Amino acid sequence: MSKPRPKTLVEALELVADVEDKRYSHLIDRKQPIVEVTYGALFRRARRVAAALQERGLRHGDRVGLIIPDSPQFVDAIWGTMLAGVVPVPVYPPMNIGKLDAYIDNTTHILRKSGCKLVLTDGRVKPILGKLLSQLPALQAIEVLSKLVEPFPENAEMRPVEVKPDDIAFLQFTSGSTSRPKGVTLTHANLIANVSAIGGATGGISITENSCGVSWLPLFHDMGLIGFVFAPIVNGAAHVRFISPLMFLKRPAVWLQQLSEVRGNITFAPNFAYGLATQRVKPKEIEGIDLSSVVVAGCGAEPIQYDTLRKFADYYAPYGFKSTAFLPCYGMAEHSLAITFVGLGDDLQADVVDAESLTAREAKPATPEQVASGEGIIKVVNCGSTFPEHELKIVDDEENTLGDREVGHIRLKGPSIMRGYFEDEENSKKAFVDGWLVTGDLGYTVDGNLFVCGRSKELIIVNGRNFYPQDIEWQAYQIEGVRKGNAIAFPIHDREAGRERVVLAVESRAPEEQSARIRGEILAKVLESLSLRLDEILLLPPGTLPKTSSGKLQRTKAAQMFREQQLRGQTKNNSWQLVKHLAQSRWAYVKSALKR
Amino acid sequence: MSESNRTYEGVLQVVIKHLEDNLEDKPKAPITAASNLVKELNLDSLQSFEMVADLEDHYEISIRLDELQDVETVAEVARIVHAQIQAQA
Repeated sequence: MSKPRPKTLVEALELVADVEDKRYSHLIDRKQPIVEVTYGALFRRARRVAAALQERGLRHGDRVGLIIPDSPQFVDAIWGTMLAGVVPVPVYPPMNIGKLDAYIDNTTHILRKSGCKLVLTDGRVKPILGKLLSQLPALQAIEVLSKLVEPFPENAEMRPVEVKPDDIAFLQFTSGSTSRPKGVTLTHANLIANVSAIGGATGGISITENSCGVSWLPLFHDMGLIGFVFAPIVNGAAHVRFISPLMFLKRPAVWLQQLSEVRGNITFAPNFAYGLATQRVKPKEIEGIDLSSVVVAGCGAEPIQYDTLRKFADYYAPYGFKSTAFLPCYGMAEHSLAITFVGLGDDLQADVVDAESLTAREAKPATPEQVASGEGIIKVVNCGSTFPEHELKIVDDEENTLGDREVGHIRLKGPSIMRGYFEDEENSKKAFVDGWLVTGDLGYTVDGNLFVCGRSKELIIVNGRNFYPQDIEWQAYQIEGVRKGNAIAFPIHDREAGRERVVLAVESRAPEEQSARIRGEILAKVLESLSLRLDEILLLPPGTLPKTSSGKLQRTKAAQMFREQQLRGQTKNNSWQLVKHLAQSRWAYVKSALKR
Repeated sequence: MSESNRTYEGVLQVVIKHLEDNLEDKPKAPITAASNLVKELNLDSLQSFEMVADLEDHYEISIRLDELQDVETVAEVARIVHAQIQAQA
């Protein structure tokens, strides 16, 4: 039986308005009972929010910021704003009081850029946001959601609003940056296309009325929001169990326990989470769990490490986990969420290639001798193929389409692709070449399957969190002795640790005896403001860092020089260790390939 | 577990021991009650989550993460854990 495909998310919610046997449930804390919300109840809660927003004077197309840590309320707010035709702008909530200045700066930027008239939040966060009002003339008020809806009865009616497929559904600000997040503008048509493809039987994960999802992903981020709030409603899944992200980070075992408890079939997480679940979960925490119900364990949002997933599969095999459940995927906010999936039920596959060949922009299969010795090889995980009606191509620097096993830039086309960046013509223009979306990622294809090699953008991703090098550098400039405008941050892939190592190179005129103080202060400053631990800090004499003729810092080149040990000041001990990692780093090879 | 471990002083020693055993960068000065978790001990967010989970296991208590939002020093961690032990006694 084919389900009617809604044209907007609003229509999707209206279609489940009477459904009382399917639900979201939220695990917030071990001390609190699980909050159950049927789809019918969700519709009524969302309609109450919509009625309150209408009463408050919000109209079709207005933007409202959502800064709500608590998941049931966040879900009410996102659906409620959309029902009223208002555009929600999710903003991550403050995680730590200590980093408030950077947080407020970032939030101010997002709210200003999106022109939010109202911010919905909760009672704990509201006092922190007080400063925003004076800085943002367009912002009329910051309201606590529960207070805003209080005067309205639970079955409050709202004035009907006609929401069309081409209307903006929500703005997803690219995460991680404290200086310039861009508002990815997604329409209802974009999101319906993407979540229908995700849930589809062809190329998707075949979500059915029996499907049960489990997610600890933050809801202010695309993977959690689109994948577990929107997709289940549009595809009619039976149940989604949400776990608070902080709860997962504190005790990763809770993810596996919940999958077992609700007999979850579908879960998604970035690579680092599978690593945490292997390293930080003690056998006694997972005694007796049964993961045999899991048919999709998606992995995306950051580079996928074959070895991390393999270890997870081995660790959890005695608990019924099947490695065929792994579903490596490729995605990005500009493409709504998902771009490629591997086939359902396919086992984890890595393409073992000759590392050296990548420097010539080719992904040559490794020889049997290389595979046997493990030397000079790179395992690139198969991320699968695109959905129906969606296209992908690999091009060289001149936009010529490349063939199988030729490494180049990934370009995309199709109904899931964003309209552009919100009120940012310049960046929106740059995002497309001849109608194809520029992903900023590098990869190659084999028989229609995509293999992602790395990011050609400069974004640094550590444990699923995104950092822009500019933000790290800016923190360094606050330290006495660092030459302003002369610092470069870049990632170096560490295969053994299965993560990015972050290196910061700064120029300084300070005498040698101050080096330890400067290093220590930079480390503490970056840790304090960004919660990021730098792996290595290089102090260099003035004029060492590579710059363009116009004086712009060259980050990619600095990273390459670092790998080739051309940056003076690299301490021998550290570098040797690093060079060993780098010898096998596919990131290093691909980057140097593209420099040629 | 002996009763003395459940006093504030006892908890403080357990917190310090956890940090000594688990910190990646060994601190230059000995860890004391006044040590600042981020500025002096370079504790990152994952490590702080791990510390909380360990202390919960050790004392069989449960700590809400928002209770820890304002914490800056080792002593403050010990105070919250100690308060929780008493509340759940």
